[in-house]
Amino acid sequence: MLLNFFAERFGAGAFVGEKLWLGHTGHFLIVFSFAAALLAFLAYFAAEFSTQQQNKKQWTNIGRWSFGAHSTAVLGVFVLLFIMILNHMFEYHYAWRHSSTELPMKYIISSFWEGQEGSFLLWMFWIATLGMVGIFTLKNYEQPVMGIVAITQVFLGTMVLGIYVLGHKIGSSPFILLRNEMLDAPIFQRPNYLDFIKDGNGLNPLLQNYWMTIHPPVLFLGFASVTMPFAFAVASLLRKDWDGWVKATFPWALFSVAILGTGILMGGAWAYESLSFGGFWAWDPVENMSFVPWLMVVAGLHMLLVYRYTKHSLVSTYLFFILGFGFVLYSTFLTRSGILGDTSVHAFTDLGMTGQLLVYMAFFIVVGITLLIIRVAKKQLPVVQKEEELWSREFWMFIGSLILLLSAVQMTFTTSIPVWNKIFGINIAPPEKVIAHYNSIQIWIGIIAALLTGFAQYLTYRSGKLPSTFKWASYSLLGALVLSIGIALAMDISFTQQYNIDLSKVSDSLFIKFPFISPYFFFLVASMYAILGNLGYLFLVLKGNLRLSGGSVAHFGFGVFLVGVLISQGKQQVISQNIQGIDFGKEFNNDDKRDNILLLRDSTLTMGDYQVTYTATKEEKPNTLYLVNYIRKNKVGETVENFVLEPNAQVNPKMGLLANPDTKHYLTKDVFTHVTSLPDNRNLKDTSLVAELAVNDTFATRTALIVFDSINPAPTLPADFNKEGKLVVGIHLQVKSEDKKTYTTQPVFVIDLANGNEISSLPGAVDEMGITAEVLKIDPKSKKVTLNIREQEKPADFIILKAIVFPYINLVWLGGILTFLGTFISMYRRSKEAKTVAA
Amino acid sequence: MKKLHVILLIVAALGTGAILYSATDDFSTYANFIQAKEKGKGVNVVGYLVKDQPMVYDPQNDPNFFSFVMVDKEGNEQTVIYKGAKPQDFERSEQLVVKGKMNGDVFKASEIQMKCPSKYVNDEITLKEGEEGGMKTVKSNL
Repeated sequence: MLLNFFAERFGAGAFVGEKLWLGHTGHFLIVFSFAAALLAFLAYFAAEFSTQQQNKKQWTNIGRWSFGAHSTAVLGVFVLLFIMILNHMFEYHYAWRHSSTELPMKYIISSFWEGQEGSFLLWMFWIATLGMVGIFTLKNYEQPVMGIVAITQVFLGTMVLGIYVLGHKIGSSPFILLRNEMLDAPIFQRPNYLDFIKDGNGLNPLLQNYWMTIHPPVLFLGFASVTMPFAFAVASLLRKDWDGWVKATFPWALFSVAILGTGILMGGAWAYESLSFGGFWAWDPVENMSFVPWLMVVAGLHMLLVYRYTKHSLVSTYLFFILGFGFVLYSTFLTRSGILGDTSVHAFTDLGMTGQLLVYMAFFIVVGITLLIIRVAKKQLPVVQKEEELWSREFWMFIGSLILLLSAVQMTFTTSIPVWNKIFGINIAPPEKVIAHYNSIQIWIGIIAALLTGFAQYLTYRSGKLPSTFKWASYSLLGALVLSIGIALAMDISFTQQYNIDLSKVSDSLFIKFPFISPYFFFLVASMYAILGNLGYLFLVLKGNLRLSGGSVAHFGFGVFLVGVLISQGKQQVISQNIQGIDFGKEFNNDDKRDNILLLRDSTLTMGDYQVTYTATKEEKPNTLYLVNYIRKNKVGETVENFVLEPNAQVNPKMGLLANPDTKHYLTKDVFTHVTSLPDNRNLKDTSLVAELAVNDTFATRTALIVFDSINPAPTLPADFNKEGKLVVGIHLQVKSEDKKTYTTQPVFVIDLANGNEISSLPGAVDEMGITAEVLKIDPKSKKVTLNIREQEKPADFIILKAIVFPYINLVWLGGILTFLGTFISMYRRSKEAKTVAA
Repeated sequence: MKKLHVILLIVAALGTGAILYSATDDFSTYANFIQAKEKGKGVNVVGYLVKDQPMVYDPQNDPNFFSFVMVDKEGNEQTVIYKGAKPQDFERSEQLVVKGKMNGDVFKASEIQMKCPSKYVNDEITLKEGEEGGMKTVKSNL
């Protein structure tokens, strides 16, 4: 009995070669980690509500050990899943579905988080890691914060449980066997079925990219980090301790801003470098919903600063941190429930966990918001009697946060269209011009946010009096105005052009009469102001003090980022346009863009400053690289630059054309090249001609001249040809191509004398030209031969290409990096502060 | 309530209202081709490619012109033109969503989304059975 039990689970079962130990250990660890997280939650909350010091200490210890055990188990699951994928254990559905044997190491790692189960595990792994840091650093806030961290792990744990409770499937385990997932496939009736499963389904070719190896871990660390400020906010609301949490929360919130921001920016870099979006941001639902939580944490961070220095804005601080985490959960719900359907390129496949995801989301949002409402309704929060002064720093920071909230509202509202359809039973579709839809609102958000970052720092907390240094804020504005006009003239920026923003709603004529009255120009001024204002503050007010410089560096970076966005997008130039030199002007219509150009092999076209030639292809399985040569000449006609771009494409049997662009990077611009279509060479037609020729006759086919130059009575024959009793005659042919190359071939005519003069023939071919000749008849009297000449249609050799120049795109990356660098500087400063308080 | 807060709340409410209003203004709708003709503005049409009707894409002549015939879910056939490169394997699409509007007798699409019969993640095992020679495909829907 007992032996049977073990034999079934660990020994050789009914199937040969399955390594069941891994799945069983994995299932066990998942259930164990779930239970341990639950215990950690209960213990930490018991500790939190214990009044006796002794009990509190004991419960805290139980909480710590359970969380430690939980984290260890999560790590164990993580390692097991890696072992499964690395060793190609295709008896497991996850390994079979997401990986294959030919994948190189970096993509095998990516297979880990391609599926929902793996990415949930990645998320849990990061929260467990942050929690372990928390145990050692949280001090007197450990109990409630860790209790909340543990309960988020409980909920996340249910997503990978994969057990049935009362007929409902809870979660989806990565350790499901392939044969259990596909019960009806007849193959699994064979005990040795594994011998037939040679390879897995493999990683989606779109995701076979090094960014897929590094972007998800950073992004999920970002998502995980948003848990911490949320946990602090709820903990403080529970304790009714309005001040004790503030300094300890700063480093966590700053960490979250920096890491989540980096993750989002990396996603943009991925989209720009290797996907065919033709840009770094497409306002895709999934992009938007990772950006919204970031905005909320940024707003929360600023409100926390206001509260710290003025005691104002406490409610907003709580609200933003709760919303930040709430939006992470909402974004999880959108991307993983299948509700987005076809509106997004990167949603996961539906695993039927919609209900579970809803419960998860509702639980934390309801708990957080209810707690906040109770505290506000009972008037338990401290109230500052004095109103904010109009010219105080806190007032404008509050306005800034409100602006970020508006930005989030618009993004969420439009992204949620599939949700509105479901809830209200309506049938609306996303906007036709999605990018213009978002840009036309978000540009104003950008303008106001940039202006605020430029001057709010010059104001002081708790005082409406302008400090003497405020004059620098005004000078900066003047400087920004002058610089912007200069840049606009120097770079020939036309502010009346529509770019990607729909201005038709605003009066057109106004912009034409006064080109500088344009949102783009305001955007440029505001961004330049963010740059100058923060530079000025850093050097004139802070005197270059590095320790205090975090905010200025971050806001300076934000300004650089915005300038990069405006110029790289606004001045981007599609150089592969079919009609050149025609100003489409205001009539320029999205529908009539002619961005694709046909490039025949070895022919040269002028695109922008370049002479562009498609010269060759290179096979790099499964991709084909198309070598596109760019030459730039100066006025005298000398070549000053010569480089080759290698955009690649594969015609994937399952997904159609998959193309990756290639980009030439300069300091001040990028030349982006992308294959948009390839000739369809699948249905090539053969032509077949019959010709009767005497020696020295010439025959013309569509692409060749064929000369019958001699008869060869002793032709070379294939080694396995038995010429016993046969008469063989070789017909020697010259085949001349259009480009004056001459090939020879020799079809052979065979008469089997021993076998009733049966006739057969051995065709001769010129593979280079796709020509095959076969002898049908030889007339001994007229000495004429009858040939059947087959000619294959030559495959078309061209690429359809799109090439774009993005000027100053490096400012986007530089600005982003500076923003997060500044945030890390602040984190360093605030961590020190947090330590001095706790000690 | 402090007066500043009242002002702020009003501004925020107006701002939100304006944003949501302008958003709904941009929203598109799903329609069939008859409705698209009646409305005259941008719509999304869901339907299928009519495979026995000619498809025009001659990149040597114009790489930015592609036309095909599509039938919507109510059975209305319509010629659709798209100013861009023809998506690879278009013939194999199972379902199409075209965004755009009627322009005279043709529907001018600004965007085409195609749903392919086998998204990459379908569960299909290809088995190589050596001893029996040849390949066998086992399909199973989850």
